[in-house]
Amino acid sequence: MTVAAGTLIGILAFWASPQDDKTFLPAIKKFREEYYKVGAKDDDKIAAVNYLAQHRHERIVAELTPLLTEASLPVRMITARMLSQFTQVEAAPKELLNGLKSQANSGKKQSCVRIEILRALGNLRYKAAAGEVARLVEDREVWVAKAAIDACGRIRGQEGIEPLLKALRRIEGAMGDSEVYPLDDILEGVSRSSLLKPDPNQKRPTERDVLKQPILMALNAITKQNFAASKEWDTWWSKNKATFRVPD
Amino acid sequence: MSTMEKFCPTTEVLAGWLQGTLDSQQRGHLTSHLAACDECRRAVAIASSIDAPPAAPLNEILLSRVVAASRPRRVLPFAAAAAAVLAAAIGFSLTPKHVAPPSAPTVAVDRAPVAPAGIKPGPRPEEPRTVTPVPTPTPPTPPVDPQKPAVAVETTPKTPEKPVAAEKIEKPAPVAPDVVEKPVVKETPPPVKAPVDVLTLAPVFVIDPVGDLWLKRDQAEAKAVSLEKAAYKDKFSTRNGTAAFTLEARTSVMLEKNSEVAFWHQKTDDVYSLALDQGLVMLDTEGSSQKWQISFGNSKLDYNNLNGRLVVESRGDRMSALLLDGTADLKIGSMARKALVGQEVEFSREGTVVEHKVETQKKLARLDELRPKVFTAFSSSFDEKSEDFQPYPYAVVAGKRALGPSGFYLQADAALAQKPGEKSALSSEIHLDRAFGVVSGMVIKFRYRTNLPAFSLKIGNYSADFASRVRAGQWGDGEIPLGAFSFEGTPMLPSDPVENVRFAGVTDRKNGQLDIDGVQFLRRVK
Repeated sequence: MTVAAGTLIGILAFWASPQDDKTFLPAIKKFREEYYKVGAKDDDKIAAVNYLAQHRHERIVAELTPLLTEASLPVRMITARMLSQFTQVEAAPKELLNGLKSQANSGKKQSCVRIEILRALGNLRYKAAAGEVARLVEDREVWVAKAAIDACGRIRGQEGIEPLLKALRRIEGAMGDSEVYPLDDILEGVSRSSLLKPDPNQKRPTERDVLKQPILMALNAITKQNFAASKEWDTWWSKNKATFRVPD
Repeated sequence: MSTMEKFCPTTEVLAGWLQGTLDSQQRGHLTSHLAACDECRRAVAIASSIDAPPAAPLNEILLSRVVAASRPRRVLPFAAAAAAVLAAAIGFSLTPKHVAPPSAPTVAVDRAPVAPAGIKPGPRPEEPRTVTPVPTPTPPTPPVDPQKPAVAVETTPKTPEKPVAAEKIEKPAPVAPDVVEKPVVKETPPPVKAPVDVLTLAPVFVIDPVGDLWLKRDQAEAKAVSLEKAAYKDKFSTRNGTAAFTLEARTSVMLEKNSEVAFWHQKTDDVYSLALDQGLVMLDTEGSSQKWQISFGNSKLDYNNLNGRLVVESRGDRMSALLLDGTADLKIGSMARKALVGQEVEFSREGTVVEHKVETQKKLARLDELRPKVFTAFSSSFDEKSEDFQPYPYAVVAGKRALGPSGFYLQADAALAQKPGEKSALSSEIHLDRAFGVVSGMVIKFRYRTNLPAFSLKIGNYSADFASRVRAGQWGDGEIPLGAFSFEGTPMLPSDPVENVRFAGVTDRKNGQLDIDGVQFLRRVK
């Protein structure tokens, strides 16, 4: 039975793939010409990605996936942003998740790529990514953590609850007092010590200011409960943890 | 956009301007004012069109600019009154010798060719000129809106003003000893009666030309200046060197030496057209999609959705068009297909088309050297008048335009602190009517005057902080790369849209100041 099913799938795949290729081949060909042409700059590559991403199909995802880890940072980010629109294509969130886990996107400099991927996964509401996304709720980079918190609220996976509660407890304490800079040293050559100095008159937001409301919103989105402080949440969670199921 | 306040000079000052009795400073101020004020310009134009003693010196070039900048509009009562008072002040005879025919088509008047900035008119003809248009490319035949009359007819003006061209035809101008002293308004040749379809064509605006660029209008020719308005029959040419410019802040245009080309714009379909008489011209759409039509005799090539670089070359009795990079949909006659990079389309006036493959890299490298060093995506000095053509249209959505000694600037709105310990907030914002996509290397430039140590700029969701480096009350220049704008940990990326820019800051003071002027989005080409 299994062999028969496998054979059928194989035949269908064999029969289907040339069809897909035929449909998307001109677009892919044009994309490759533009993207891989000699001297192509990031702007050209981004334009090529934007063009190809108009076609939403597994075949296009396969074409764009390598860019998530191999291209320059702006191209990776645009690719993630474009894939976030592939709502009906199963491969898109899978590949985004792979990109998030990839070593190539794990450094501090690549945090902007992780943020874009997290936003994309949240947009696609990819349940299978709930665990990985929840892990990043406690990321040291504030903006990565913020993107993960937002994604948790959109994905609504049960895995997100405990990291969110932990993060809430943390920022309610003294740890939440540290100030957050909009740039946060994310851009090469541009930092809080460069010419683009923040206004000393203006009070910078703290981690608590940046993260608390998103955490509460994410918890509310997952549990449909509404509490304002970590103590109340902890009380509720300790009572309901064993039987909790994410409500529809 | 907010309406500009008006501080019009007295008629005596205007008379002084006409008579040349103002000192250079007064004259400079008034010249700036005339460039921006339709009423005064109209008054000057009317006064100068009335027969004057030959000795009255007029700055023809300046007046030609002034008149060229005027827009079609109804004559305001103010203009009539100002003209009458002005004429009386100068001691001119006010009796008009000719009255404009009723329902004179204003389009014809407004379309009267005017010498471009910097062009000195030729000697005044002793006979009325016959209508002999300069050989021009055949304009395309855009669809005419059946709902609208082809020629706009205004109510008959009740002022002594009359269409200059009409006067010109009816009455030969007297010969003057010194051509420079004649008002340009009178020099204007009779308008060429344009075919109906031509009336749907809009002139194009050429911005920031560099190199050896000349503008030929009728028989006159002058070096192109920073903003030129050119109709379908005006030609841009290069002589001994190359030139480049921005066409309406949308397309970079590069000309090789000894080139001659005309541009026009079909408003109905938003199609730009190009007719090359000689030489070579390259277009770069700078990341946007545009429609272009290449005309050559009766032949036309349509490049729809052109996003890239297109080179057009004249080869005597043939012309070639070649997509150097990017994408476009090509239409030749009834045949439409994707344009291929490196596939040259050579066509004759009769419509014969030959295609062949060309090596583009060398050509591209050579032509790239002609590119302007700066591409302006947006520019505002806040001196723009809403009724004038604006190559970079925008609206002020927060803050207000305020007048300073050197023109208007954008003054931030202040939201004063409501409670002790709170800070006052200052903010101003402009909304760009024509959004554009960010490209690598783009920067925002602006002038600022503030007593805040720092303020922030926001474009969409993206923001950047800027530390002031000037003393309170002084103007300084600021520049921020768009790549330095961030939103929650991600930078602004190429292709992100720029639709607005907001300046904001907070202060403990009651009299916080945040003034902005000369906002520009530029891309420097390496």
